[in-house]
Amino acid sequence: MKALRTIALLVSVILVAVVAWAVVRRATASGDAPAAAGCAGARTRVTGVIGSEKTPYLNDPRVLSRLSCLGLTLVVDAKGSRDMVNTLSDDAHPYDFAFPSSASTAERIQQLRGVNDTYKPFSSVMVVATWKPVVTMLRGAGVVTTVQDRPVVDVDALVGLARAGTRWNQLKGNESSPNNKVVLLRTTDPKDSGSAIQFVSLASAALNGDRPVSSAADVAKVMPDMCRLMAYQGTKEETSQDLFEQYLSDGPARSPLALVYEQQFLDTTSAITVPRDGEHVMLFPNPTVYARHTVVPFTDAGDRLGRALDTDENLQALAAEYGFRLDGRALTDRPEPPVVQEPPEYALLESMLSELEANPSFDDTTGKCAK
Amino acid sequence: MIRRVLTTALAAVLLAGCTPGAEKQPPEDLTGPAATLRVLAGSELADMEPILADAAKATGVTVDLEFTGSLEGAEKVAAGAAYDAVWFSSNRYLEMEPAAKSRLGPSERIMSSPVVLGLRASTAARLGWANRAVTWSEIAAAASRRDFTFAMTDPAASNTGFSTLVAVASAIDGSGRALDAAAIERVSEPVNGFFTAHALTAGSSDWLAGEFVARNRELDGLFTYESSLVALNRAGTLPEQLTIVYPADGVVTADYPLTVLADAPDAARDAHRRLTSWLRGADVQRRIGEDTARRPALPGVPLPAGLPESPVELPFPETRASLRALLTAYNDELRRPSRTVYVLDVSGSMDGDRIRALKAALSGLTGVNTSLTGEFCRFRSREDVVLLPFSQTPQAARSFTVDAADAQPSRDAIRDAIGALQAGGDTAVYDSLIAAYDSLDAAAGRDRFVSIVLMTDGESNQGRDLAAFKDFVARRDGAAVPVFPILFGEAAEQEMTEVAAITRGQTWDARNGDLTRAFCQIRGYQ
Repeated sequence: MKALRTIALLVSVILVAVVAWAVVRRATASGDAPAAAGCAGARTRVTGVIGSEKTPYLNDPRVLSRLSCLGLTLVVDAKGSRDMVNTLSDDAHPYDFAFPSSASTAERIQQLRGVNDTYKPFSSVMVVATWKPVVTMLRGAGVVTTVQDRPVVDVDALVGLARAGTRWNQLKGNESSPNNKVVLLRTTDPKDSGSAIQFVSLASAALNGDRPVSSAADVAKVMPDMCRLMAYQGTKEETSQDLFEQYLSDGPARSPLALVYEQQFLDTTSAITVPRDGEHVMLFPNPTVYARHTVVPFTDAGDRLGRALDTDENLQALAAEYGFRLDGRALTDRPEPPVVQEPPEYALLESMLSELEANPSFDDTTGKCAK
Repeated sequence: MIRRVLTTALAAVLLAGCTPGAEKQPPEDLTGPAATLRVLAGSELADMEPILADAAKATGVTVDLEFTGSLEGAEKVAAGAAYDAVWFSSNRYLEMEPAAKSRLGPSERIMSSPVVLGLRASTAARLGWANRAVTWSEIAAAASRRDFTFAMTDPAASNTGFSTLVAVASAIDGSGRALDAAAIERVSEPVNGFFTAHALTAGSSDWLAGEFVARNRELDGLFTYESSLVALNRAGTLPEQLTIVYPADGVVTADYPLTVLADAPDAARDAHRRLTSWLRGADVQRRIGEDTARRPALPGVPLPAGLPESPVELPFPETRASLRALLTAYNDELRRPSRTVYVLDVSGSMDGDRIRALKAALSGLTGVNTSLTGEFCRFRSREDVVLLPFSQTPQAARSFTVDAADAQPSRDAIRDAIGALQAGGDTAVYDSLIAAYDSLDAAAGRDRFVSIVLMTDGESNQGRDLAAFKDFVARRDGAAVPVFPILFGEAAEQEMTEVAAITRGQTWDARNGDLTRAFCQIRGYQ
């Protein structure tokens, strides 16, 4: 009896101590605490235009307070890449930096604004967000295969199904499904979004015999299928964040397969996270590409922001928490994708995108893109 | 033993500190300077006003909603109208207009609602659809047999009508991909059968729902937002509940992106950010679900009680060419044709500018207005147009049928007749209205949408009066024919409102503005 009471007492003392410790720890972690010694006194407002997938990270109060400590008050607008480029074409644009998700968009912005130096603080791999029963079904159809002991979505096989007009309810084991749509990977709109640009990179490589397209002839060869994959979908979401939210909230009937950033799937910090229920599955497309998130600074403030994201330990650790891959750090928590393609040369990527941006439809009789 | 207890207690405390719930950041401070956001919005968003009132308390952002239809909204934005933000069922129509698309700034999805079929419970039971999956082909087949009748908005004016059209055409096409112009041709026959059961049309989903309640004995069902059907069931104004039918092969869903315009001032952009953050908070998302029966945009917030998981989403055509092809096919081939009597005041007071304005506006419907909405306001193939000018007495009615094979010569003939109108004399409004009813009753080919448009600039001072007209309508046999009065000049507003009310029509005000727009908007109801 006495022993029990002692234990109870001891436990409550420890409880109080632990809670107190947690409270103190949280207070010191917050930037408002007096412990934030060495923080800059003056604050400079820094305004950026960013890809939507980085919104949760850049809006995290810990990120904002760390930046504040470094003397920067951050304000961001999320935009699709095309919109971003349009906005930045205007000399009177209000931004200190741009932060697109692809090196090619960054390159375009650099040319547009005459910027030499950029920062690449972190990257993501493109992945396919899907569902456990869908994986089983696609394995039967030869679309999910195993490469280097890892299940992957074979992009070539997936294109094959679209080419044959195969429907979801024609897949073995799925005959009773009402889903009579052609089997496709949902993407965002190449007019608007960086993740669709990544899709064009990886799908064009798959269609080119697993090599990045490297000539106008290669482009001409892959375009009919690229066009088919975009046109069959009809209207597409403008941002990867919208597509990812729909994947999570609307279920497998609406989004059996969606191309998203690995970081969105692995992020455990945002308000929007993937339930660990075993039903939500993330696979690498084969091949896949890396999205290299790139800061293009236009002003001193933008440059300071880029450098901070790239070098500050605290900000880098937070980026890892949001699921980004940090360059040059060992990744014990996640595997490398089996096959990675480099994006095609900028001009070739541009030529594919501009054809797809014209809202083509696919003409069955000629087997070509039609406007 | 002691060690084990301690370890467990410690682990419990540490775990509690590590769960996402406990580690969640304190809610972001969304307060800021008081601001008013002027928002061009879809009419069904009126049910968000109580939530927006609380948003104003929490964020300082007051939302000033101005309602319009989806296509007209896209056109207004393209023309540079001065709003801070837009909030429609979707941005699809805005994105298809390059000038509108270029004005769209940051956007946040707030909620969603699929367009589905609400059927009177007894009809759903009779058709055997109450408890099983039903496909669009079955729905279209039952409609072509006239096993049920339905209400649906005009696809050229309203998103619910267009979504229904896209869904039925895509599902029947069955190619499993977005419709293109060629596919639209292939499906015209079965889709045409579907529309034989279309018994009430309207330019707005709100008006359609109201009329469905008022005319409940005439109609079996309506195509509209799931959220509106739930609201109708909750309102308790229907004699029997609606069974919601989710077509198994797919639906088209509205996702309500609240989008700030790129050229809005900084204060408005900041207000938009605060407002959308608040609207996307988990508690507010749950409340939107409970109060409006829309589906939350934020993953992890549970679906409102009673709503099924998201159905299959049909692909939505993406090109302006397919949108146009679909609307043109609807107007000229698929839909039930209409017969409209235009009762036109040509009394002495109309002389001069007024008759010139009338001629110009009405001529706009003969193919001379080439804007997007103007294009779909034109007199359509197979349509009957009756011109009935009046002054001290109704004049002879002139009937035109727009030729299905070659429409423009018919439209030109109508324009010539409009051009020949001459003003002079007194104003016999009610004798002329009654003459319009008589001409409709005498017409052959009854399977049409029928309506009367009354354009007058002054009070009736000849022939029968309002009381006599009411008496006439009350004693008249046959289906209701709505009268749509257009107020112009010194029109008798009170009397016209009554005429609209007793005939189940609606008044349109062109006294300070645009007669062309009034004629065009009424087209959605014809």
